[in-house]
Amino acid sequence: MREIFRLGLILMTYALIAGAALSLVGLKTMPVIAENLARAEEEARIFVLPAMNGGFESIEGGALSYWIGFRDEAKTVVGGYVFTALGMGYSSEIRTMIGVDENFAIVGTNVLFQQETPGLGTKIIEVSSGDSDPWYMRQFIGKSLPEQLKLSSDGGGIDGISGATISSRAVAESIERGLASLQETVGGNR
Amino acid sequence: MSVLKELTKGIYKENPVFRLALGLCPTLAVTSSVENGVGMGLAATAVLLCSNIIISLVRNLVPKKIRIPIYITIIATFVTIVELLMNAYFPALYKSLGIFVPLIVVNCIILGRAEAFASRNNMFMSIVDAIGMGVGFTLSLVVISTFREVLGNGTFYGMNVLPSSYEPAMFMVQAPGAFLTLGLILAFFNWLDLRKTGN
Amino acid sequence: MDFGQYFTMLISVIFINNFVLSRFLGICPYIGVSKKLDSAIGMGFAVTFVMTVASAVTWSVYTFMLNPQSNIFPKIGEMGVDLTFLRTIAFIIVIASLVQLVEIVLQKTSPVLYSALGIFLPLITTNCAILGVAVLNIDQELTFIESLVQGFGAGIGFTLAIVLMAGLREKLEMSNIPKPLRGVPIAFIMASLMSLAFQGFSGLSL
Repeated sequence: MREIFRLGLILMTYALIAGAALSLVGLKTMPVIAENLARAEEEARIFVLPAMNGGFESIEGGALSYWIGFRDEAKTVVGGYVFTALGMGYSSEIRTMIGVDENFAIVGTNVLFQQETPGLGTKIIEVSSGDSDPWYMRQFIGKSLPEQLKLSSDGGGIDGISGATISSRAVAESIERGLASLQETVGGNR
Repeated sequence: MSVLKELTKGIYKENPVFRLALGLCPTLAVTSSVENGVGMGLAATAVLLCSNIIISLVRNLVPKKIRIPIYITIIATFVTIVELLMNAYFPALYKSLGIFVPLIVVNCIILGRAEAFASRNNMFMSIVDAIGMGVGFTLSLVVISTFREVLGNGTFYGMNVLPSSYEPAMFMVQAPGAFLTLGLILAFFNWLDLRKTGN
Repeated sequence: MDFGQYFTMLISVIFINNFVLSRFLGICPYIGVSKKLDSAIGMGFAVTFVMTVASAVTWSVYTFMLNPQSNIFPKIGEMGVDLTFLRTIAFIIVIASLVQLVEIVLQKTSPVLYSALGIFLPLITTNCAILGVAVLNIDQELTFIESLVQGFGAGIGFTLAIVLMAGLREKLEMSNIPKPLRGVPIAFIMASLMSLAFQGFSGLSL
């Protein structure tokens, strides 16, 4: 009995020392990690909706969470909005971030996350040589009506990707839903 | 054993992946690109070094009955430290390596060397052993990921090395390609052994 | 309780994202214990059991003791102290204890299986698939039931892979394999083909 008690005590001592060491390292690194995360999110928003001198403000709750971008530092002139769209692709969920201007015309897109079939579904982020952004996502720029965001085979203005219908449709539908939801939410709050 | 022999045994004679068949899980998973292979190799080597040092220092203070839980606690501590440091200062690598960073704690190489070497040798030799095994592990990751990245993506460490007319064999960077590459390399080492014994 | 959703998850984790053949988790025992069909089946069930229970316990420990938002210790919840960085060390301790427990129980109830598994039973602790599924449950932000389902499914997937491999290797004993390929290399090449076959499942539309 004493033996188990002694062994347990020794193990606990090791655990306590380990815990102390970890807490020390944690105290130093966790603020850096949180800062990295915040900076990455801010950069993602700036990427899809640039030139917002007043930064972004997050509006949460309700049907859709989104950010308002302010053109001026005084935060009085709304420059546009940013929202994330989520769609079920072929083999993974596809997350995109969309920036629209004050008239809901899409100005920037970014595929945040996807794990589609390499060579087929991943064509949604394929960049042709000489270009700087994916040709598939570029189709969304300028459109402001949700109906335009369907695939052309579904009556809209977006050309799907042959061999990757499910991936391309998932992206288009999620952006269509997101834009419609944004217009409804913002329109209601105006 | 001389220091030099101790250092180099991990690179060829007792290479943890190709000869001892240890640490196979991360070997298959992170070798889709050379950058990931190097990152994982260095991270695992760091943990191996630290844990070997501590375990050889406390080797006389560890009751035999609970030595495995104590080793695991020590190793897990260093893995968490590496996790935190990587997440803070190398977030892109941390994201690529994914769940395999915390899985360093169950990398059989580290627990294996703790049990087989660090618990029975002084700190200096344990450091040498850790460096040798760590370098061997990293080298094996680089070899495998070179095959997979060059043939499967046309790049090496992100830089294009094959003419653009080369259509990459996507298969190589995916799961089946990993198994195949490792199987063929292991067969190659077997063949080398058989030649030596005059077969 | 949406059974359809759980069924989809099971199919997904057993076939589409098989832990061994597409996530590369659990390779060491996969190669080490797949020489004989009986020990493969025994190992498979032991791993499935440990994975399911470990998923439940690690999820609970993370949610109620480490995560500041759902902490049962009021002080930690109030101060918002984020202990999630302790998850690796906490999880591995839970898993090591569970395996020790399984060892003791197995020794008493089925000494035959206990001696058949031999050294590989304590080695379940270092099976990256167990720690892997525990970490994945948290990373994917699953609920308690979802974690149980994924843990159980991962074990079944592992068992499927290891039993298939054992069956093949037993048959292979009678074949004439070139010397360099004998043993582990041919096993990896077979794994490559199995992995290729399982990739076909990613076309399953659920």
